[in-house]
Amino acid sequence: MGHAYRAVGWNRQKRIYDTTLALGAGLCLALFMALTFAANPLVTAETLLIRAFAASAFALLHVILSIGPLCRLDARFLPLLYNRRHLGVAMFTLALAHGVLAFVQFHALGVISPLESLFTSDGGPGTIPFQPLGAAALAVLFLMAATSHDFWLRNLTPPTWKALHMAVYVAYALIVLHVAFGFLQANTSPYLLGATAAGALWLLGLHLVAAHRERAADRAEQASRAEWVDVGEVATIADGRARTVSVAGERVAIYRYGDKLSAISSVCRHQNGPLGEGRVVDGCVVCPWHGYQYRPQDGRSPEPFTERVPTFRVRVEGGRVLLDPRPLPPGTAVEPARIASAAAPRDERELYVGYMPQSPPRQARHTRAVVLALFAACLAVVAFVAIEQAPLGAGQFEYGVVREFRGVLASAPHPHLRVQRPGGGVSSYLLVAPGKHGADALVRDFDGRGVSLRGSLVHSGGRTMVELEPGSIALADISVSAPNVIELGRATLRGEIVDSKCHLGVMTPGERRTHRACAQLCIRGGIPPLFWVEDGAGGVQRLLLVGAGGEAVNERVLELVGLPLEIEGVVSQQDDWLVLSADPAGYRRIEKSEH
Amino acid sequence: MNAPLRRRHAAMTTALALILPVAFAAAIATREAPAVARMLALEPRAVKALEPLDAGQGELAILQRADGPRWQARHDATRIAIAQLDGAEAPDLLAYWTPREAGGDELATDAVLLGPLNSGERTFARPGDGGVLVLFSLAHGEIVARASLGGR
Repeated sequence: MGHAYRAVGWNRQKRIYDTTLALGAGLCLALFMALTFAANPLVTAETLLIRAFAASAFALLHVILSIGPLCRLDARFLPLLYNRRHLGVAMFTLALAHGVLAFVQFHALGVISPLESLFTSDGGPGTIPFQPLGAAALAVLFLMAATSHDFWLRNLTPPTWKALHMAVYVAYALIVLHVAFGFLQANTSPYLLGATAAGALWLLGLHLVAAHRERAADRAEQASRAEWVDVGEVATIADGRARTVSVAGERVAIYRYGDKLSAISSVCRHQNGPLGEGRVVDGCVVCPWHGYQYRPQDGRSPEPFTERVPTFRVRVEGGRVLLDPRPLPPGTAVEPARIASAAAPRDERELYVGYMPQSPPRQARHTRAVVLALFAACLAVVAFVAIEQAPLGAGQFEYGVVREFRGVLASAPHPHLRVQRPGGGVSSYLLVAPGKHGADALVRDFDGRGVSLRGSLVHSGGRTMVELEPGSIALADISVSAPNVIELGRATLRGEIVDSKCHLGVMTPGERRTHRACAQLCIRGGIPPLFWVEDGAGGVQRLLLVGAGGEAVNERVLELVGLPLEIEGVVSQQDDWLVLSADPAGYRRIEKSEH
Repeated sequence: MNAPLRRRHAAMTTALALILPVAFAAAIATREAPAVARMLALEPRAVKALEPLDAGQGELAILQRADGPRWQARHDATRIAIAQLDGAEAPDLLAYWTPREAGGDELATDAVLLGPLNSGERTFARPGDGGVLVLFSLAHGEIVARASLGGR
């Protein structure tokens, strides 16, 4: 390790790096939330945060995965790599916030444990659950974030640590599929689809090009069985720079410094960075990744550091460099070869690592331009996602606002309060319990009785629900008109089963694929299922869904929740609600070809 | 990276390049469009079916709630068509007609219920010549907006 390098500690570049990162992440989150709120003023805070964290983390992951291959293709990107671990941990933090919020929002407060819900819901014939894919990706990212410290790097050894951190590609694949089987199922904008695909193609292309370049360099391996290998003319090696050759399966950096030549392994002990792409500064080879230093003549870091790399014997004959491909034990001193001619080509490339006081001007200009471009790209991506996402619903939940309601309570098929309208007629308010629970247990003793009760309103499109405050129901001297039931005849309808509580406003959106697991949990907990029907021209109907005999069907429809269905049944009007009565055995999933 | 890691990176990248596009395409291929239905038969029959007012037909009145939401009421001699223009919906919103302007927050005892309002435009029979259109949220127990519709 170089004497100026501190394994843990701040320096100017790290501060700039992290400030820029925090600013970028904050701007991405703020921009996404502002644009989403502008288009969907009724969106819930949870949805805003869940989506803002997801979009920002996904954009940042693309940046992180681009840095490695960009550095392989152009060393001027190296300042981005210097503190990449902080970028990774920041991205994990954003992803974790997304994951935790989604986990609580969609899987907590139900009749089964949140973990069981996470891994058992959203299944069924022909569907692939997308949330376990995200959870798996988060687990991989957690392992990486938790080991993103030199403590683990040293303990695991660089090859193992690096191999572990290559799991980021697995995490990336899982995240892309999480997005494709989740968000993109409910958000059908072709532009969102195109942007996701373009992001994946960009990364895959970049990595394939970088891998191809590395492979080409390795293919040019010298005949390693020879005792001495001719690696080229000494006059072609710039002063302070190295020629890297592949021998015996690994790369060796032959450094020229003044009138001397020394050869050391090109694999840095820190993170296996390419020592052959560094340069000699103050008599030491400096790794371009993080600035670890080694003396070229013995492969040892200067005191007090202890890193060592293998060394190789080298000599010059007739202007050509000859290398003994057999590595010597790490830290073995080797007498440098002497160069008779002082002529050496110039190499204008600059080397800058973060602990140096100031970046060279050209490098600084390049870094600033790249950072600005990445800033702009990330902001553009999150803005684009915010604008292109599907509308988030118009339901409202008066969370924390408790009102009193008076009417006659009815418990079948689902608990509801019948409220007398001035001037005649009755409004029916569905009743549910807090969390993902129906209100059956709360209303059991009050069926058919006049009551007053307290709760919070949930409403959308003329449909009203009250989330009951437990224990607030009291008998009251109230009567309402007799139930008004009008049979409207048989109908065959196409739509989607949703849970009434989320759909009417507790969550935005409370339907489609991204909400399916939550809807299943709610309906399993006794929340009345609705059949949500759209006519494709803005018209919407929400029918209370019951069995052919008017009974609750919650447990029988779970696997069909959130999927396109066709249901044939009897439609009736009961007070101000439309009710669809049909045996769940006859619900038919609409095939893709039928759309 | 050292040589084994370089090989691993190349292998992972290649595998990803082969598998990910296929899996992604499969996910998109299974994407289902929302089911769309005809709903003409589903209008509640309790509301008397009326020919809706054509666009531009009748006189226009704007009702506005103090905190922003607005409704338009187009009316002719026999019908009133009400639609929300902007803002958040009020819960269990009912349209009433009262023969005369009555102050205060209470719904007049002689108010005539026209019917419930929800998303989209609803057309009601006009109960009288001159009067006041009142939008009342039953769930909130408050008058949301009102407008006097003059006689013709």
